[in-house]
Amino acid sequence: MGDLKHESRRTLAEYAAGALGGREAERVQAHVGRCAACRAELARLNEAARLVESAGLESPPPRVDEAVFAHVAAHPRRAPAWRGLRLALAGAGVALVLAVGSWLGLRGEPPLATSPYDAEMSLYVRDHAAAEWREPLADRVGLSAMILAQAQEGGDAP
Amino acid sequence: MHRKAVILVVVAVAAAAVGFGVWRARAPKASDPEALALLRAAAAPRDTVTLSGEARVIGGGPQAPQRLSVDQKGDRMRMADGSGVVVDDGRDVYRLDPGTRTAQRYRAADVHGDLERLAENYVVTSGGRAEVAGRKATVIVMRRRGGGVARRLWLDGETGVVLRQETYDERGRVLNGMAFERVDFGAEVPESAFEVPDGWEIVEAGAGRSEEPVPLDELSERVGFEVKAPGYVPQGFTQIGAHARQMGRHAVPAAELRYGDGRRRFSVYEHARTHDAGQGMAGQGRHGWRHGAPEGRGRAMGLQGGRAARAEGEDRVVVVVGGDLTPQELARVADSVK
Repeated sequence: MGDLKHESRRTLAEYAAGALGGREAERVQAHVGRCAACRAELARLNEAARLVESAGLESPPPRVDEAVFAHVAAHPRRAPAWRGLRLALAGAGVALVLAVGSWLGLRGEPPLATSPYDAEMSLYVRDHAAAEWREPLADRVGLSAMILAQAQEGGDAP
Repeated sequence: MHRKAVILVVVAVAAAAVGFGVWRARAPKASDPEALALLRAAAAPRDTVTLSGEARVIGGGPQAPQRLSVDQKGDRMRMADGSGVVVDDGRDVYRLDPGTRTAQRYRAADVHGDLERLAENYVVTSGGRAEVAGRKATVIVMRRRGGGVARRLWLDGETGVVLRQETYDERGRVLNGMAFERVDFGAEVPESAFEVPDGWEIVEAGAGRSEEPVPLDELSERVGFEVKAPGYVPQGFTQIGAHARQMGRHAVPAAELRYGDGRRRFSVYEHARTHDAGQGMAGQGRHGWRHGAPEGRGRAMGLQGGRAARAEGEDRVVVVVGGDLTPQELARVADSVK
């Protein structure tokens, strides 16, 4: 029953960062393996980290951290009138994240080949798979599946 | 109202930046020597391992087998499903086609053993323990330096055999992988399982790779056109091979330049374009290609379980780049061969 509860974003972020160890990492890994929502969240976190990385952002200085928490501590309550705006902002943020995530998920991946050059490309893809074969830690099961699939798709004639 | 909203947004952005900072700061910066040692042990040849089992294939493409039976004896392997059989006899790799009783032979490249380069370009750490196919496994995490997780391996606690592995793209999505669902170590597997059956015809898929790497000018002489190295290769990659090949049943002369970063590899193939339909590799469907993309511009295509990009240059040389890169990178490499 415990598996029905989703992992927190913080836990997933720590897992993605490799900061969890031992049983905790094992538990999160098992949960992510079964939970599509947490798996998707984990993928988003990895993507967010990549975007931050590509933007060249650095960690803010400690005083920013202190200022943020000082501000939060100094304003423990907010007027009820702000509740709607907060919710709207949060909703907009979530929508933005989902939209960006969906866009990132949909773009970039080319469609499956339908070119008349399939046979030629397929031959080279299989050839590259064979080249990988003896490399240390090569995924020979996956390479075999690729060779079998490519053979079905492209035939043997270049 | 407006001022408070601005403050709220600034605080939210600052908090997000702090969160990312904490997340980044906690990401390991250096490899764990113990994890690296486990990885080296797993990569070493295992002459004594014998196993039989069934593995699930992850991300092989719609037409790829979802499950394969796997038999292994030392460095020899046999993978099979209803559509065919792949056999590694310890020297070459064959795809057996029972329908035509032919064995298509693929030449495996020499082992580069570039685990040192892997340690330079990736941070290797332990990811804890897990259970795979009823066996206890140690998880090894490979992370791009300054980036996300690139690969996870689940190593059998007793034998060090890889029981499961997943490769991730830059966005953290699983690109491909495998996982044993059932495995029996020490199972009886007949020797004939790793051999091409008697009487079967052996057809070469691509010859020439077993030769020693050759310099570009000599390579150009041997294939009959000027071979050019790509002007762009992704960071961390270096050239690990150069071969004169004969590709396909027509033995078309082709040059192959191989690159690696310790974990990922890609090959740049170049061959002269021919116009004899059915004879040359680029002869088929030339108009269809031109309709799809301007000549001379790299174009990536997702093939079943694999990726490649193709470009044609003005000097009538066709470039195909296949391997473990994003479609955009494959196309960029292909387009940089000028």
